Amino acid sequence: MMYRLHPVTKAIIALASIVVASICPLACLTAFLAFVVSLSFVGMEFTKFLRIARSALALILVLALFSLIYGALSARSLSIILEAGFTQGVIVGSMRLFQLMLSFAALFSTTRPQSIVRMLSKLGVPYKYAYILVLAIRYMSVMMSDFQEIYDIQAIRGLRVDSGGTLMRIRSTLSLFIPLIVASIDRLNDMSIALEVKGFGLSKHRSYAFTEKASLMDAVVIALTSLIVAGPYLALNSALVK
Amino acid sequence: MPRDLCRAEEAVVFKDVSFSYSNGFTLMDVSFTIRSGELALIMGPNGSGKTTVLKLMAGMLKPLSGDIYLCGIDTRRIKLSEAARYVGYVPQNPWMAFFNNTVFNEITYVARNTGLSKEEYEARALEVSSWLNIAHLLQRSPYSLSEGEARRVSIAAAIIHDPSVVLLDEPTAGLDYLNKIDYVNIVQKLVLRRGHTVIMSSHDVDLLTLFPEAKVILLNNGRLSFNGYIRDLLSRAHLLLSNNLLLPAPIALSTYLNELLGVGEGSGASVEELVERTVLRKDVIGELICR
Ligand SMILES: Nc1ncnc2c1ncn2[C@@H]1O[C@H](COP(=O)(O)OP(=O)(O)O)[C@@H](O)[C@H]1O
Ligand SMILES: [Mg+2]
Repeated sequence: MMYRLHPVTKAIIALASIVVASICPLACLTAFLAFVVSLSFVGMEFTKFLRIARSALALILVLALFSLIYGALSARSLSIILEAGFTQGVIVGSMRLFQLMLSFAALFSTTRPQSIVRMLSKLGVPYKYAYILVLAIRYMSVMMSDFQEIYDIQAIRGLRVDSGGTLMRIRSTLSLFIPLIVASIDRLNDMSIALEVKGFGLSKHRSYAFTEKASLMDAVVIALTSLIVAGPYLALNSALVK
Repeated sequence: MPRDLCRAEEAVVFKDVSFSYSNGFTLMDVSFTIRSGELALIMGPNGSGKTTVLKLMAGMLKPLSGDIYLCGIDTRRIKLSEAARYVGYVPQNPWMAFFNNTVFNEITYVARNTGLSKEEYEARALEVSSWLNIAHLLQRSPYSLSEGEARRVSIAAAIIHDPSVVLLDEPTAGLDYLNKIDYVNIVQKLVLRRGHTVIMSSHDVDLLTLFPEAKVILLNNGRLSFNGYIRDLLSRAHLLLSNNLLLPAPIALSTYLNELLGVGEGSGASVEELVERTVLRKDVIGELICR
C-alpha cells in the first residue's frame, strides 16, 4: 500500500514529521507516531519494516544513552537520570526522532527515485540537483554494504578493532576506510560515466516514462495527517474563541 | 604442509546449511564436504550463491540453520580474527582489501596479525612473492598495480601465513585463456606442492576442463544441484545446461565438430560419449583444437 500512495502524499507525511518533531505537543506527537507506525506496518513488507525500525531504534538507543550519560556528567551527578523531567525529555526526544526517521525511510524506500526527482523538480529544484540528492541518499545503503564486506575481509585477515594501542587502532581504522574510499571512487566513476552516456544534464527539461495518479487513499491519508498535526491548534483556537 | 593446527580429515563440512539475506535470497539445505588437501570448485551462474557459500565457509556469515565446520571447528564458535589462522580469503575485488603503503606491508599483514615473527614473515614474503612472480613489486604501492599483478598480490597476502584452507572468489573472472592457464599453474602448485585445501568459486566452465581432478559443487539459485567429481559431472553434461551454465569450450567445440563437420574419432556420438573421449584426455583436445 505504501508503494501505491502518491509520492507527494508520502512527502507530505515526511514534511509533517518535521513539523511534529520540532513543535508538536506530546499528544499530537503520540498520535502521529502511532499513525506513521501503523501506516508503515500495514503498508510495507514486514521484513523491510523490521529492518528500518531496528536500525532506527539502534541509532536512537545510542543517542539516548549518550544524552543520559552526558546529562549525568554535566550535572555532575547520576541522580539526574532518576529525575522524572529529564528522563521523560529523553524519551520524548527519542519518539520525535523515531517518527522522523520512519517517515523519511518510508518515503525513500517505497518510492522510485524518478518519482522523488520529479516531485522535487515540480517544486522548482533543477532535476540535476534533485537527482544528485536522491543518488546520494540511495548511495548510503551501497556504502553500508561495501563497508560490511570490507570489515569481513579485514577481519579474516586478522584485524581486531577492539584491541591494541592508539597506533594500532588508527591502523585498523585505515584498513577499513581506505578500501571504502577506493571502492566508492570506483563506483562513482562508473556511475558518472553511465549518467553521461545516457545524456544526463544535456537538457534542462526531462520527460518521464511513468507518472503516478493520486487515489482516494491518498486523500484519506493526507486528511488524517493534517488532522493530527493541526488538531492541537484547532482545539486551542476553538478554546480561545469560547 | 600448512603450518596451522588444522588436523581434520575434512577441511570443510556443510550440514543442512540454510541462510538468507534480508532481500529474500535464500540458500536452502546445502550439504557437502571437502577433504583436506583437495581442490574444489563452487560453480554456478551469477547470483546463485557462490560468494555467500565462501563467506559462510570462512565464518564471515553464520548459517541460519544447519552446521558448518572449518577444520573441524564450528564456525559459530570462532572469532573471525582467530579463523584467520586457518583461512586465506582472496576476495573477488582485490581493492576491497588493500590499504597498506607497500605491497610488502600488504602481503605480510595477516602474518603480523596471526603472530608470525619478523624473521618468519620476511622469509615467507620472499618465498611467496618469488613463486607468484611479484618479488619485483614488493616496494611498490598496491594502488600502482595492474589488474593481474593485484590478483597475484592478493593471493600472496592470503597465503603468507600458510593457512590450511585457501578460498578464492571468482579468481579467473575477466582473464583471457592464457592468463587462466597461468592461474591454473599457481593453484596446482598450491594444492600439490604445499598441500593446501583450495576452494574456488567461478561461473567459468573452462575451469572444469583445466582441473579434471577437482571436486565440484554446483549451485543454482541457492540450491545444491550437483556435488561430486568432474568426471561424473561431465558425463552428465546436460546438468550444466539445465543449471544455466555453458558447456566448456573444448566440449562445445568437439560437439560442434562432431555434429556439423563429422570429424573426430566418434562421429555421430552423443555429447556424453564425446566427453568421455575428449575432455578427459587432454591430448585429444589439443588435437581437435589444432585441426
Ligand atoms: N550483502 C548482501 N545483502 C543482501 N543480499 C545479498 C548480499 N550479498 C549477496 N546478496 C544476494 O544474494 C544472491 C547471491 O549472491 P552471491 O552469493 O554473491 O552470488 P554469486 O557469487 O554466485 O554471484 C544475489 O541475489 C545477491 O543479490
Ligand atoms: Mg560472487
